[in-house]
Amino acid sequence: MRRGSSRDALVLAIIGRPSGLPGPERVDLAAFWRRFDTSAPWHVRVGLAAADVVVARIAPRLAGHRGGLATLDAAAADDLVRRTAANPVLRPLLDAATVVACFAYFDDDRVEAIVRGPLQLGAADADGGAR
Amino acid sequence: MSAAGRVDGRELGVGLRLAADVVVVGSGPAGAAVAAELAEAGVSVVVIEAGRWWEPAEFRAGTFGAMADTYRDMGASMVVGGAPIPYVQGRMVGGSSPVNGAICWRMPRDVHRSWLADDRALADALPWDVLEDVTDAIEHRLGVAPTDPAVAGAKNRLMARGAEAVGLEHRPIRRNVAGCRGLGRCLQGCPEGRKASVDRTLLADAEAAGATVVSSVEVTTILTSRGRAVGVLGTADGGGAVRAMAAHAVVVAASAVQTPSLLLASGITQGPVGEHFQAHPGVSMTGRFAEPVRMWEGASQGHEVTGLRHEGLKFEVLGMGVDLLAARVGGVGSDLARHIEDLAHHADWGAAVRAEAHGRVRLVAGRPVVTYRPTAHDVGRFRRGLRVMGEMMLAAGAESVDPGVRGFDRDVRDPRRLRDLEERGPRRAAAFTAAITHMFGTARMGGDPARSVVGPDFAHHNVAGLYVADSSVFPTNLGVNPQVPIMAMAVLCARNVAGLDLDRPATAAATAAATHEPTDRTEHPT
Repeated sequence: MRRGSSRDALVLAIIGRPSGLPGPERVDLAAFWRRFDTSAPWHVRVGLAAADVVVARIAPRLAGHRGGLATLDAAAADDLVRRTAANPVLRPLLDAATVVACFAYFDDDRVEAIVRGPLQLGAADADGGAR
Repeated sequence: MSAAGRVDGRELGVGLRLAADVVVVGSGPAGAAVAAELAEAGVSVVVIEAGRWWEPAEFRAGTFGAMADTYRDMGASMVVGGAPIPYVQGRMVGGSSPVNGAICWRMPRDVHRSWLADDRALADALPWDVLEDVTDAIEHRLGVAPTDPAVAGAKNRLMARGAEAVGLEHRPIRRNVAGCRGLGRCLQGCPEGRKASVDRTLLADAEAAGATVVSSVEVTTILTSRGRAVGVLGTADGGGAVRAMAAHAVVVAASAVQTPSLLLASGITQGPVGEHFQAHPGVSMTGRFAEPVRMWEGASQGHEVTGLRHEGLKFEVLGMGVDLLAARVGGVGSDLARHIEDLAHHADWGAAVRAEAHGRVRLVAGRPVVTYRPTAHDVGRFRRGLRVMGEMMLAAGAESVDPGVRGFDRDVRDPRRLRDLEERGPRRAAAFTAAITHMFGTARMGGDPARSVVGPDFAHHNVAGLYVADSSVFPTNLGVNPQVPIMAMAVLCARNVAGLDLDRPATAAATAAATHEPTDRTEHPT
């Protein structure tokens, strides 16, 4: 059983479990939502709310589950969001939610720092100039 | 007051009255250039900016944090019409300059010629030689130079390789940076302060010459009396009302969206104010390479392909953060997780389109609404740009590319499919993953008051003492990154405001900087 709000569950399901990185459940989503709710323009908040309702609350029930996305185990949640993404009508909602989920996940400095790693700039290739 | 010459509107809980010869609305490239030119000529200047000052150490690494802090509407303002395309504007001291890609182009000669051919009244007002001289001074002050190969990184070198392979003209991007280490964070704001953005250059020059900068105050009204602009009213983030009176002129330099909105909100509706909105919508192509690309490091936008500028297309390496790259690479759940693990191998390039569409800025419930619908020709440029970018990426060694087009393959490995995309791909703009970063034309200049908002001298046709200095006055879009042409035009505006000779020598700060390096006036490729 997953805890937290259904939009937390949406973020967890969209991000999945990238290996070598902290799981999205270890990110401080409450802090992210506080900033998001005060910074995002109304149409972005409405878009996410629509994705929350459709993908995290309605779609699981239409798929035969007894509860929303927050009640599903990881495998069932993954299956649900991937099948939803394959639906051309629902895809735009999930695209918008994916941007927000990536914002939420990488807003954690640990995740961002692990992905970036140390600066690895090397010598320029010989073909780096103008033609 | 937070510093000498500065007023921080976040601390203004009560009213504030200011007075100066000239009040400038907006502190981006146009407002900063106007303020520097006027202040160094001895004119008293107050600059009022809606956003706040940000110090380099405050800039966050993630795109979300940067957008929430320093972009208007979190970078998610949308045009409405044919497709909900986001348009991106900075909201901070320096405008978009501290969070742009640091890309510098001079005014293209062909665009200047077309402006003069369409309106002979502009010939004496915008002399080419003067624009060139002013641009030289600006470029010296900003330290504009080609991207240092030592900080280009793999992502920029791959574009060079791809362009070379398909035979398109390309070059390192000329940027306004000093001592860049290739941290790849231009669009989030350089945490080391190595971008010569206007808050650190032209606006600093204005302050040094005595200008006052009022931040975190949104100007809501241009005050007029007997047909003359006499000042502005604004609201501070701290809640206080701000009244700034202008003895000589009000100069509006708030962007091609905010400037017409302010004119309309002030009841200044003469001419095509808000009309003729033009832009450079862009589309992006991602590609997966066997070798690491590490899009998040190297000069954020360090290489460009100019060989199709005559078609209205220019290609640039993109410099978005890790979060937006992950979202763009796509997938959800376990698919997205795999892409995130593999993110270091993905590149993302953009095509900027010199679109022919005209839109409009209106005020709805006090807020700007931009209606804009790319034409069929513009959407054709989207498809063409994606095809060429895909061909370049595959030629550079990409295993597969993803044009991000709804209803089309997300995993393209055969160049013939890219030809199919151009020839038979979607005709609807809504099918493409697009964004707008450059906007023009909503208070355009011209000799005919029925067809323009300001005259060739940047002065409003009907309201004395009111000038517009930003890209709103541009008769058309440019097809190239506009920050330097915006500054150059704004300097001419300032000289008109102060009654100075258009061909006067460069300001003291620019002249001092000009002693370090010879001018590069290389004609841009067309």
